[in-house]
Amino acid sequence: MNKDLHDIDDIFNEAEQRYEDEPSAAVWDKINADLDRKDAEKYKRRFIGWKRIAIILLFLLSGFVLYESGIVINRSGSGSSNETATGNPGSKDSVQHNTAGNILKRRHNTDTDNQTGIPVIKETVNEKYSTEKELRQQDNTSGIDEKNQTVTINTYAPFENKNIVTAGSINKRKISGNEQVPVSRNQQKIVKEQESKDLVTAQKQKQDLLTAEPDNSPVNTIEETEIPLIKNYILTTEKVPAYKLISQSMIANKKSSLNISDSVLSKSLITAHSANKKNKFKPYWSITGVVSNDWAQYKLENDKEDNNGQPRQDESSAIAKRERHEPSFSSGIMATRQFSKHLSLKTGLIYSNTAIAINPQEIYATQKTDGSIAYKYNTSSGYGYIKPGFGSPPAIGDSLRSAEAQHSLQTLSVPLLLGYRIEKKKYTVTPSAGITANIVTRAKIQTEVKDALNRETVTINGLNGLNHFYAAFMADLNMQYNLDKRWAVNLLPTFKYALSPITKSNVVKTFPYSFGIATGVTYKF
Amino acid sequence: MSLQETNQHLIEGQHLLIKGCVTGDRAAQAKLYSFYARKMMGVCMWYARNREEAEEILQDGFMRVFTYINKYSGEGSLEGWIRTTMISAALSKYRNKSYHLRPVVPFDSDTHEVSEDAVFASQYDEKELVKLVQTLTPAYRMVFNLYVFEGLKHREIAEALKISEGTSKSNLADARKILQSALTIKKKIALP
Repeated sequence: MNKDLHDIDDIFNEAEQRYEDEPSAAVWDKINADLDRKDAEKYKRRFIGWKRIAIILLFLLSGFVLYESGIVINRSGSGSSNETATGNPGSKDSVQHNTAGNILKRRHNTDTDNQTGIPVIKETVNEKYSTEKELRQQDNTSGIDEKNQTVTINTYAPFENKNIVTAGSINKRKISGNEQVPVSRNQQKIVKEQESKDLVTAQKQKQDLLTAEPDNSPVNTIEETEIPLIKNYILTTEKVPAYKLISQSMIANKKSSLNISDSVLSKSLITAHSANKKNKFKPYWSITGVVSNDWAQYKLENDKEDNNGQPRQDESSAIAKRERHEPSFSSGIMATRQFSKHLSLKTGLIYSNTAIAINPQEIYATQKTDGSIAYKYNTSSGYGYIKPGFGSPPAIGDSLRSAEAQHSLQTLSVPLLLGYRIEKKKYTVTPSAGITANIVTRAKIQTEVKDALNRETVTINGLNGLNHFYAAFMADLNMQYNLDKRWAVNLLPTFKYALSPITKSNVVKTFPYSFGIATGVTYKF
Repeated sequence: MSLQETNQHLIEGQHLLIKGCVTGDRAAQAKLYSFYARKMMGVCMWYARNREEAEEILQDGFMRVFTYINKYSGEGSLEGWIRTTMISAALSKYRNKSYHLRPVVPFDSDTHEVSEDAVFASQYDEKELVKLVQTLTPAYRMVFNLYVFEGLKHREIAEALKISEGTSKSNLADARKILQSALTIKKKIALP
C-alpha cells in the first residue's frame, strides 16, 4: 500500500482535532423551539398512564352506577309494591285486642325502610306450639278452610308477648273462618279493590299452599323456620324466616314513628303494584349487521430508538406529509345482550379496511437483516423491501423513484362495549363505550418503481415493523328505529382510537383512529 | 487557587450543568450548547455534505444530547459523550436519508499516476480539508471518517453502517485515493 495513503490519514486526523466552526444563531433558535415543543408534548403526555386508568375506572364506575341504578329501580319497584302496611293503623285497641294487624316484613338483609306490611290475622295461642310441626298441625286444622275458601297460615314467632303471627289471606267471602277481624274502612276499601285484581293470583297461591307437601322434619330452631307470606296483597310463595315477623306492637310503633297513614300506604301499594308490572323486563339478545363508511387518521410519534438502541431521526412529519387517508369501510356483526331495561353488553366481529395513498418518493437501497441489499419503502404501518427485476443489483445508497402507492390495512376487531339504552316510543338510543381487540390480518402496498428506462409494478405483502395486535378504545351511539318487536334499523356513529401502537421497531409509532357512520339491521330474540 | 481546586470547581460546575439539563432547565441547556457548539459544529462539518447539513446534524445531535443526557453515566468526558452523540446523529441522517453515490471530485488516470510520486505538504488549511472530505460520497465519507477520526475497525464500521466488511474496506481505499489525488492536484497547482 502506498505510504502516502497513511500520510493523508494523519493529515486529516490532525486537521480534525484542530478544526472548530461557529454555527449560525438559527441553530440554537431551532433547538430552543424544538425543546419548547418537546416540553409541550411532555406536558400533554404527563400522567398519560394514570389518565388512561382513570378513564377506564370512570367508565367502569359509570357502568356500575348505571347498573346499580337499574337494579334500584327494580328493587324500589318491587320494594314499594311491598309497602302494603294496610289494615288497622296500629291503634292501641287493635294491639290490645289482637284482632287485626299488620306485619311489616323487612326485605332481605335490609334494616332500613324497606318494610312490607301485610294484612294478617293474629291469634294468641299457647306456648305449646313450639315446633313447626305443631304449627303445621294447627295450620291444617284451623288455618285452611277449603269450604270457606279461606287460607290461613299460622306460625310461631318467639315474641315476648307470646303472640303467634299468622299470615292470612284475602278471602272473597270472609277472613279466617270464624274469626271476626275488625278492619278499618280504608283497609276494607283497599282490600276490595285489590281483591278483584288479585283474586286469580290469590286462588293460585292458595292452591299452591293447599297442595304443598308438609315438612315433617323436626325443626329445632326458630331461625330455620320458614313460612309462606302474602306479598303485596298477592299471595306468593316467597318464604320469609319467622324471626322476621314482627309483633303487632312493633308494627304500630314503626308506623307511628314513620307517621304513615293507612290511605297513603294503600295508595302506594296500588301504585307500586302497577309499577312493578310495568317494570318487568325480560333480558333478550339482538343481532345487528352493520356496514360503515370510515374516515381514518393516525397519530404519529417518533420511535426514539432503533433496534440497536440508538436514537432515530424524527421521520413522523415526513411520513405524515407523504401519506393521506382515503375513505375506508368496515362491516361486521354485533351481538347485544340487553340484560336490564337500560344496560347492555355488546360484542361481535368487525372487519375494517383502511386505505392510504402514498405520494411518489425516492427510496434508497439498504442492507437487509439477511445481508442482501434492497430498496427500503417506509410507511406509517411498517416498512417493506423492493427488489426490482430490472437494472443491476442495487448498492447501498442507490435510489429509485416510486410512483404513487396504495397502502391498505385489513383488520379484524372484537369489541366489548357496555351500553345504556334510552327508549322513547319506537326510537331507541344506546350510547356504548368499551375496548376492542384488533388483529391486523393484512398489510399491502402496491406501487410502481421506475428508472430512466424501466417501469415495474410492485406489490409488497406483509410489512416489517408492523404490530399485528393492538388494543383500541371504542365508543358508538346506536340510534335505532324499531320496525316491530323483532326488527329494527340502525344508524351508528362510531369512534375508535388505538391505545397501543400498530407498529413495532418502525421509524414511527402509529396510533390509528377513525370515525365512522354505520347503518345496520337488528333482529331481536 | 491550586490546579486541583480548579479542576474540582470545573467538575462541580459540569455536574450542576448536567443536572440542570436533566431537569430541563433551559438556561443550563443554553450554557451547555454555547460551551460545546463550536467544537461540535467542527465535528459535524466532517460528516456533512455542506454547512447547512452540518447545522442540521448539530441541531439533531444537541436535541439527542438534551433528551438522553440522563443516560450519561459520568464515565469518560462529557465532550466525548456529546461527540459520540453527534456522530450517531450523523449516521442516522446517513442511514435514513441515504445519498446518491456520486463521485464529486473528477479525476482521471493520468492525475492518479502523477499523485503517486507527489510529495505531500505537511500543512494544509483545515477548512480546505473539510471541503475535500465533504466532496466525497456519503458512503465513502462515512467510512473514511469513522476509520480515520473515530478509529473504528472495519467490522465495527460495517455494523454501524449496515454494510459488509469488504464494502467498508473498499470504500475506505476509494476514499483515500480520491483524497490523495485531490491533494496532489492541489499540490501541483500550488507549485510554480
